[in-house]
Amino acid sequence: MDRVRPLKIENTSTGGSSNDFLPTEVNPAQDYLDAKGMVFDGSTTIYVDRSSTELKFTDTILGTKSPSQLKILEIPIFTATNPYIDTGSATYQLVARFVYRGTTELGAPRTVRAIIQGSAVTTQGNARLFDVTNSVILGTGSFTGNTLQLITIPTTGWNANAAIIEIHINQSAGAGNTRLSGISIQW
Amino acid sequence: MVIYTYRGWCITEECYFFSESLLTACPNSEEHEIDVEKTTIVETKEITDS
Repeated sequence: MDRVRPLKIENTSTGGSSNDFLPTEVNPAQDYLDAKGMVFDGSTTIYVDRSSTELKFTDTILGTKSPSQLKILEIPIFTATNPYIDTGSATYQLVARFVYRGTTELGAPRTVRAIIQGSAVTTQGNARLFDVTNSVILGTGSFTGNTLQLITIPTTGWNANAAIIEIHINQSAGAGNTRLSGISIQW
Repeated sequence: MVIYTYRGWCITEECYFFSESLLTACPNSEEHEIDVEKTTIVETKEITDS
């Protein structure tokens, strides 16, 4: 790793603790670089910058996020006797609710996954997220079979303001029940 | 016996309604359309016959 120390001119009138009359190297134990942001490798898609009152991190995977938006919400679903809640109903069944603080504060989640399986080889079913505050189906993910699997629920339509989100499951075809063990939401 | 409580969404009235059977129209009027996709079982009761 080729580490370098840029030259700087420090001045007490601009926040420094001494006055440099010639460029001197940055002291990593003492100096702060004063800049709007930092670009990495000359990239226009990977950088850090200040936006209003918070830092924003931008890269090609996360998009632009503040530290407060970098979250993972893991919701375990279980009963007293089983590590899942199940249904054999074709009509969606309410399994759990959680509070979402809105895209204005949190941004839209990047990935929503369900930990799900059927009780029979032929079980087919779905898990979905429903914004009950605004009556909007945010997305649905499907599965088939009796092995525990992590499926993706593609979502759109997250509200700008706080809302109550519900997790629903159904059994759409085949034998057996749909068993939901958890939901994982990543920003 | 199992009794389900269904929650439906009335498109015309823009409100939820609850019933113990699957409805094809809003409870207030047969002419008011529901969004079938949003119908959800929100409660399941098991009744023991005595």
